[in-house]
Amino acid sequence: MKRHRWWHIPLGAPALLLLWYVLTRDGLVSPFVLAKPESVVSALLTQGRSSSLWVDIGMTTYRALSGLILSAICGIPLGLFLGYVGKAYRHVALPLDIIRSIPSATLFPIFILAFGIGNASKVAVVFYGCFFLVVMAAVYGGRGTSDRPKRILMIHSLRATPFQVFRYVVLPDALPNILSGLRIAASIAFVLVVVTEMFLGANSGLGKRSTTCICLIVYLTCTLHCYSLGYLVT
Amino acid sequence: MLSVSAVSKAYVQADGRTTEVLRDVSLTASVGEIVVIRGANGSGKSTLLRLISGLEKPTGGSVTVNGGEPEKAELGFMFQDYVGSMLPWMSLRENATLPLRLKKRPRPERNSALQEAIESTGLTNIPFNHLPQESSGGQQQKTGFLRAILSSKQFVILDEPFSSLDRLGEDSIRNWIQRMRVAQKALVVLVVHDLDDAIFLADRIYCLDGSPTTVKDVVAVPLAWPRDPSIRLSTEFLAIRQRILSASLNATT
Repeated sequence: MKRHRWWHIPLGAPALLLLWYVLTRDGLVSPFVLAKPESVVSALLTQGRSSSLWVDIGMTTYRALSGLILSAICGIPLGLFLGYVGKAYRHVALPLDIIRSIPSATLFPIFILAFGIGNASKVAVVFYGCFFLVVMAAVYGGRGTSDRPKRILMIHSLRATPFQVFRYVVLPDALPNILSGLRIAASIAFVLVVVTEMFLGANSGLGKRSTTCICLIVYLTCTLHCYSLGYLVT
Repeated sequence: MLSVSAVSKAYVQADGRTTEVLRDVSLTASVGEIVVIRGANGSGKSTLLRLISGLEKPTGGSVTVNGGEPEKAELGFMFQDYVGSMLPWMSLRENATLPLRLKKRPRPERNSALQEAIESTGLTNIPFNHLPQESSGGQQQKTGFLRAILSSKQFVILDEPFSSLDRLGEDSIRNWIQRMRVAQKALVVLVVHDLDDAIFLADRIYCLDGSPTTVKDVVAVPLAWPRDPSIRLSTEFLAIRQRILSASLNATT
């Protein structure tokens, strides 16, 4: 059992709060650029009482996670296959690079035409933005580390079935790559959802709420949304 | 029963040229025998072991185990690279009992089989709850040995099993091999560099040499089992030693 000492407590978050407090206390930074922490907390307490904030957070999360999970379901097996079978990847590398270089934002009109302005188009944008990230991470995972051939030889000597080779060697070997890809994709998913909610038209969601707030110049509310977004992303 | 007849193996390299590693290698062994393979570094010993175990196909000749294809035979293979053949995401216990997990044996059965193997070999000082990278090379090598014998005790291939073991570990494995020989239940194929170890443990020694590698000499070791360590000082032992040494001297000159 490791002994816990005070310096083991992560200090990043308290330090950030302190910095925020110091910067805003005496108007060093204008409250229009950065609101005071206590104003944000009181805004959260006021708005948290009505259900609409939670509905917005829920909708944004729902859209982001749907797109992310869909991209993981499609992207991980495809990427693992492409990485594992090197010859297959050689054939699709160029088309994959071309398609994934198109920014999702430029495809908004196409997504609206194809899926309308409801949830489907927003999830599709997230899917498009995350899919290639997940595929590329899984490709690198599927290629395997330098020790993988030895491990595969070992498990073949135990007469493992192809599924067991995958389950006990290929997948765990690829997992660190896949997880870091998913983590990056998760942040991108929330960024994309908020942007789609701002510009593709939405009845709810944190992006929609932010634009409304900007129109009403209720800046505090906006700040609050930015913070709750930051929390969701991490 | 293992039968390797006139086997050759060539690899195609990245630049398209083929390199022949083994040529016309023949070897037989039956259950209850211990066969030792000797040869210099890079002489194709490990390649021969991969052919025997069915992990690779020969380019010429044939390998059969009990009359069938070698890749279908149950086998305990202890790899020379004991670190590279460990799964770093599993504890040493899970690594050692992996053969039973692949056969879908329940956890209590796996653990009691491991306990039994530890007791029968006398291998101690293995931190089974640690990951491979948290334990020493020798501890991983012992785990590799336990994994091999939990996979099969009838057909065992040991590729340099003593390379990083302490004296106690070496003796445990040596004694285990000897007990299996006396019980006449196992076929053991062994690669060792130490000549005294080779003679001490072998029924027959295959000396590999040349490029591509061929069998230069097959030396029978007709010493009675079980063998006491003091046998290393007997005249028969020393005569066999002399014969192999002079043959290898001729081979390198």
